Amino acid sequence: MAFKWLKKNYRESEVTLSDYALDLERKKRTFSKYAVGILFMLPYLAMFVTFFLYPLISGLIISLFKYNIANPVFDATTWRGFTNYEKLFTTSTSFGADFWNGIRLTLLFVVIIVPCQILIPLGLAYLVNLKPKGSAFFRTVLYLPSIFPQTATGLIFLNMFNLNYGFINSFFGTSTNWLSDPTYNTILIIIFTVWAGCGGNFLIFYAALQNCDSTLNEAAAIDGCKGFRRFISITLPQIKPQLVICLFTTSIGMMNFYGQIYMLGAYQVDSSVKLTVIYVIQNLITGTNFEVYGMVSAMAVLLGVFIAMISITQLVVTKDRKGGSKHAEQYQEALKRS
Amino acid sequence: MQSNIKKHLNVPKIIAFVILSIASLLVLIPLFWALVNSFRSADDIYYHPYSFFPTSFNNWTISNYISIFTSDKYPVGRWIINSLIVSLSSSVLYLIIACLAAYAFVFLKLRFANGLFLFLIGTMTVPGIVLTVPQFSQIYQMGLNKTLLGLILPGLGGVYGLFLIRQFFLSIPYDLIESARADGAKDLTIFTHIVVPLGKSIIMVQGLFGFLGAWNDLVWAQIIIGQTTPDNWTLSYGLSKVIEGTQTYSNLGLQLACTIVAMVPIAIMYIFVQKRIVEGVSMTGIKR
Repeated sequence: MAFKWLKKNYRESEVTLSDYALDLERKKRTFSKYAVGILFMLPYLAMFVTFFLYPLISGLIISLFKYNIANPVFDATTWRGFTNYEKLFTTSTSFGADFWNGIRLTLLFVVIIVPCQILIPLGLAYLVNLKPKGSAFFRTVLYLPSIFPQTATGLIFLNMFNLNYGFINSFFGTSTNWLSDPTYNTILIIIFTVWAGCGGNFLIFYAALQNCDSTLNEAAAIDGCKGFRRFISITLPQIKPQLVICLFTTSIGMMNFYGQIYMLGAYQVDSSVKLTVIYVIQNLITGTNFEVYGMVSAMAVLLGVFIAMISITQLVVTKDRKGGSKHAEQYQEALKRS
Repeated sequence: MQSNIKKHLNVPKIIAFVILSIASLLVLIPLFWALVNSFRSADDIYYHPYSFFPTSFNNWTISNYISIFTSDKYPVGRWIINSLIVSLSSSVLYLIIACLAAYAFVFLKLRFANGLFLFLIGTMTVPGIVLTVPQFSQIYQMGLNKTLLGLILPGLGGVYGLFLIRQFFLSIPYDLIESARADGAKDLTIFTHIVVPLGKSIIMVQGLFGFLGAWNDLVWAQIIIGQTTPDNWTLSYGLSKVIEGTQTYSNLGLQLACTIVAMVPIAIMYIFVQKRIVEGVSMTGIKR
């Protein structure tokens, strides 16, 4: 503020020595400001360029070659052009078949799991927000599974649902083969994913409900609007932004469906129920065939285009919302990943 | 009169309490089962699976925990150290560089800052999967494949955390920075003495998520350290490997003790910072 005032004064009066000195000082300050700024940004920007921008570009290039990670050669002999992509679009090749099967399976899981991961946390958040006794405890507990490694919680489920010594089977007196039977295994994977994945959305909905305007609710109550109707007509519109965000972030997260299925499908021999698209990609990357990376990169790019299309739809849909809340989704996705 | 009774017997609240209790039980049962059974001999679990608790006092044992620290096949102690190295260094390093950059973006009012930041936000729509192969190739060429450093470095370029921290820094009154400058404070001093203390909560939240992300990571660990000897594994990756391919119970005790060891540090951290997590959600996101 003081600075602006000085500047104004300087313009109005004739140039004096002190004004000149001030001007010089200002220029010096601007210079040092930029120097400091660049110095402060440099470590991060260096990392960003090295580990984000460069891989992004080289990933696109790699997908056009027959790329060998141990012996990367970019020349006419390894140039594939768009044949990698063409192979992906012809399901007669094993890559294409695997890729599309993976996409199909992934979308199947998306269609089943995403509604669960929206509706269940929404219901729970609503209930916690009614502030029954112990609501702080409930809030703490319901978020709990989201913070643990999926490999750890997956391992617990794997043992609890074991055919021979699992607690679940013997407690209910059943002998369901949760881990080897394809259908039951899929059900178990869905149960586990919902169990482990509701916390993030729950917390977002909970915070959203907390920020709802309670006077609206009271007014509606006075007007005789009750219970469920009030929830639909008054509460839901207020948290619509968060609902939209969660719908998109959960869908995008589910496109990367891997950890849960890798753990819970550990004993599953029928690969058709567990080879989601990320599973296919991961198998190829960690495999022993070093010639295949160009192909995998093409797969990843193609999948990336799908996911980016979802993200862009989200940006368009949520565009009209105000400043900060527009980017709440980024925060929330970070929450969910943890 | 009627309304009085209603006040004392708040029906929706009771229903909510019941449903939430059930939900919490469903969440807690697997966790408690693992905790209790990690102190139980594998034979006891195998022959009395219907029992939630050890069947007799003699079947309580800490041998599972001893075995995870003495097992040659699964050096869990080593995994814990590896996981700590990776999680701590990746989260702390990221916090340092991201906070510095966020300070420059917010408080220095540089002319190119907004444009640059918009570009950074734009890159957030790029899905991570696109980067996996080239990042692996990059780590491979740098000679960092099969090393812990290869796990740490790629995460440092992330935009997310920077974005969060910047959003929070925007809420710090600029007058504060101005007056500190007028008092002759250097930028680094302002950064360490004003901005960092005021931004403590977002720094903790981002630090926590960074830590958790690295601690829980499976996909990238599989790629980088998957083909190495167990000595180089992280805890999360190691856990995915203690299943021995068949549905036997040969190392059941070890499995359960491992999971508890992997979860306890996080649970303790969660207890201390959980208020900050909820605060963080409402501060940075929803409420603006």
